[in-house]
Amino acid sequence: MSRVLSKAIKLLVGNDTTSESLGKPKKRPFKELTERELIQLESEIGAKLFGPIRPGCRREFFNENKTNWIWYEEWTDESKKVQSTTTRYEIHDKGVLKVQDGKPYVYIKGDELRNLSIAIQKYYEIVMRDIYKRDHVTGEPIN
Amino acid sequence: MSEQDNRMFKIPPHTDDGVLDDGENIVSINDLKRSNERNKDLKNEVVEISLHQANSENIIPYDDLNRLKSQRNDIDTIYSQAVGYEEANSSSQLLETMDRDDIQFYEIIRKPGPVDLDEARRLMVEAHPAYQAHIAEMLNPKKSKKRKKAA
Repeated sequence: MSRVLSKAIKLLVGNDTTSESLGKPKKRPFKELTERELIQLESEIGAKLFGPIRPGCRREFFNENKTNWIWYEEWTDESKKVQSTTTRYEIHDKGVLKVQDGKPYVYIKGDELRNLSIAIQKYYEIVMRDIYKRDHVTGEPIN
Repeated sequence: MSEQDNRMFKIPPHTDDGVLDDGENIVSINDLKRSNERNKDLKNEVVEISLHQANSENIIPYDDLNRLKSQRNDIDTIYSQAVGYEEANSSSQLLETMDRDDIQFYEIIRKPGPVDLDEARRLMVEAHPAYQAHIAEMLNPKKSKKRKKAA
């Protein structure tokens, strides 16, 4: 039974918890980073690219995979209700498709395309240097 | 044509000197007609060639050729009436409508550097956990302090 429970917990929360350490986090100085955690770290950098974030607001900007970039904004409106908007930029052979819930999908161009391009370049440079320790021009590891 | 008909057929706004204006592109009606004629000729040519080939290989009896050909033309007409205008303004011609700067920026977005982020993540996941932990701590000093206090 304990083996089944252990397996279920492992499936739900990943490798960080075992049945013995339920409710009592095990100290793991050499904890491995998962791809998801790496994306979270990238997003912390990405969120800062667009200037300071207002108090009470939250922003995420990250590369989800080879073709998708996500921009998430969360804020509290005048009636103290939490509002949010998620924009997905999909890189297609024909252009960059902007996908927002409830809005028509459009291929971006002009200023929006330029601003996204600058944000992606900055993101790439800082993330490569600070997280992956690689030169963003050559791709070689930085010593 | 009444105002209602105009709405029904979604006719784009036009000016008196015979140009269509879809908001961004000015297209001369004559150019449009010429381009349609060219497309029609090309389509007919393709139909002719493929039907001729089919006939020479005895795949389709010759008597059916004309019927198939007229059906094909009907389908083409219906198709171009239904989607022709929208299609001309959609993604298939996006790069043609982008200016040179836009194309340059688009290329940067497509490939910002020599190593893609997916690959960099994969390499980091494979890296030694101690190295990963060092990177995480460096990026999140506040979080790691909290973790130390909790421990």
